[in-house]
Amino acid sequence: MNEIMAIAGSTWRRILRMKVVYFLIVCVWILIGSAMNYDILSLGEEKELMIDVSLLLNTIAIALIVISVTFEIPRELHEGAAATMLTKPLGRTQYLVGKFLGSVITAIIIGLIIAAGFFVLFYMVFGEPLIISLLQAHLLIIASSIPMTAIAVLFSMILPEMITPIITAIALWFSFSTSHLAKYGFMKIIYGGVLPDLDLFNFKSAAMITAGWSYVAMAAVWGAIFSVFALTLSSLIFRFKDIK
Amino acid sequence: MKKTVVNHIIIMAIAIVAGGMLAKTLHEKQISTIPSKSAISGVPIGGFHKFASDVKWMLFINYMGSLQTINEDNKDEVVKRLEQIIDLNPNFEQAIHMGAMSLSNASPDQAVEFLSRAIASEDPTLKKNWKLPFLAGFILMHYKQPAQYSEAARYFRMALERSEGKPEDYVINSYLRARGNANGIKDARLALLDSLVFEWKKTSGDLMETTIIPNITERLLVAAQAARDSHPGDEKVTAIVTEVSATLGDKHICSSCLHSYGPGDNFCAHCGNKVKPYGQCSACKHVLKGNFCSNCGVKAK
Repeated sequence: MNEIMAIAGSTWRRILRMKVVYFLIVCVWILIGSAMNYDILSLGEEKELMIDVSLLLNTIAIALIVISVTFEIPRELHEGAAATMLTKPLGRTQYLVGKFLGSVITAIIIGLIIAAGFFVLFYMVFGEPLIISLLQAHLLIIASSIPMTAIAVLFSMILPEMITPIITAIALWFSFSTSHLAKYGFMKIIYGGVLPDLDLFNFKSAAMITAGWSYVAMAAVWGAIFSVFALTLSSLIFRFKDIK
Repeated sequence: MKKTVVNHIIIMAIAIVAGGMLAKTLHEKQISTIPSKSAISGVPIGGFHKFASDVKWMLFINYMGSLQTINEDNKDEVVKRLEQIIDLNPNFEQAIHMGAMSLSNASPDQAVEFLSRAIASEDPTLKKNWKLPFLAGFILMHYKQPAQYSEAARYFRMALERSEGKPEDYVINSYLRARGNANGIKDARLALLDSLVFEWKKTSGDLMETTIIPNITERLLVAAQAARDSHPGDEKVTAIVTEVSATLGDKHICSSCLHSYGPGDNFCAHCGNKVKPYGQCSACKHVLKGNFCSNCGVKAK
């Protein structure tokens, strides 16, 4: 466990030490706050717009952190950093789980910072305190980092370094629409188990409707279960992979 | 095969089964929480349908600002843009409302179609919205040629039912007029009276049903008085006045003009009709002020 946390710690520390991350968070807050200026252009829908922009930008921020894994793992494998680490008493599975946890923790921290900033802005602009349904919508987005990261780790194992980030981004994009495929034959069988459905974390379309804490918890559990599948498969592939 | 590989495969199989089952449960739960989710466009845009609808809404407003009026030349474009917005966000109340209003003149059928889709929605917010059925009824009554009163009355009634016991007066009047017109009554006052009598009869008699019209008796009296004044001698109005005054006898209503009269009055102050006096001393006919007559001291019965 200590080895896993050491790998995870190095991952999140590396990202959270970057000043550009905080600069981007401030940019996200500015963009969220700027929605209040759209009152005339949206005919009084600026409140809805601010909510939607906050959920959109939080999703994008988390997706970017997740995609950073697809740069990091192939780079470490390519440059031999992974091989150096694996000479120590560290298994390949532990290495992947460490990378996965580090990325998830980073996404959770950044997602929470963005959400907190949004709630402060929302209170300052509209004078409304914390709305539970909005909090749950943001928490679901943050929880979506769990299966997203698992997908990124899996793709880092099976795809060539050059195309991994692009393919991961496309896969994440389409993973929000897999429930439409789940109606058909074979897809129905693999839905949820092999075929991820990130739309389960998507309450953006009805952020004023309370998802319920049980739903939020169940969605996070599903994310964890899917991650077990994806990481086990990644580990199996990594086991047979030659590294420098 | 190595033991670790077998272990990996077993873990994956368990995760697939458990994940599949949980995902299906979550999907069903999500659909039941957000019924309109299944109506959202299937276009894969990364789950950003709501934001995309906001952007399209602002573009729509810009586009509408560039138009002088909505007519045959541009109505298809307006409909297309609105369709796109509502496909992305079927709960976009303002887009539905404003879109239907802007189309009401050029294409009332299309406007009502947008509204009826939103009215039929199982979404908790739209389900309670009374403005949408009201607007649908209004368009069918005032913009559709020829007017569809029966269908309009159905929508107005829906608006009343969704008003949670506090409907606006204009919704009540629209419903009553549409219902009366649906029965072929052209005159607005008579149409109003006919509908009020229909609703009032539900609350009186053996059925004792509840009506969606608040203060039905007061409204009926005012409507009957107005109809009687505008149509003196009309047989139907006279019959209604007689029926109402007979039923509301204990409310001290003049049987001729339906105006109320006070204690001690022997004749209606409005029409001069002889009325059944009340609140008088049985001995000296003086108006009673309490338990005993202030004039002769006889105990009131």
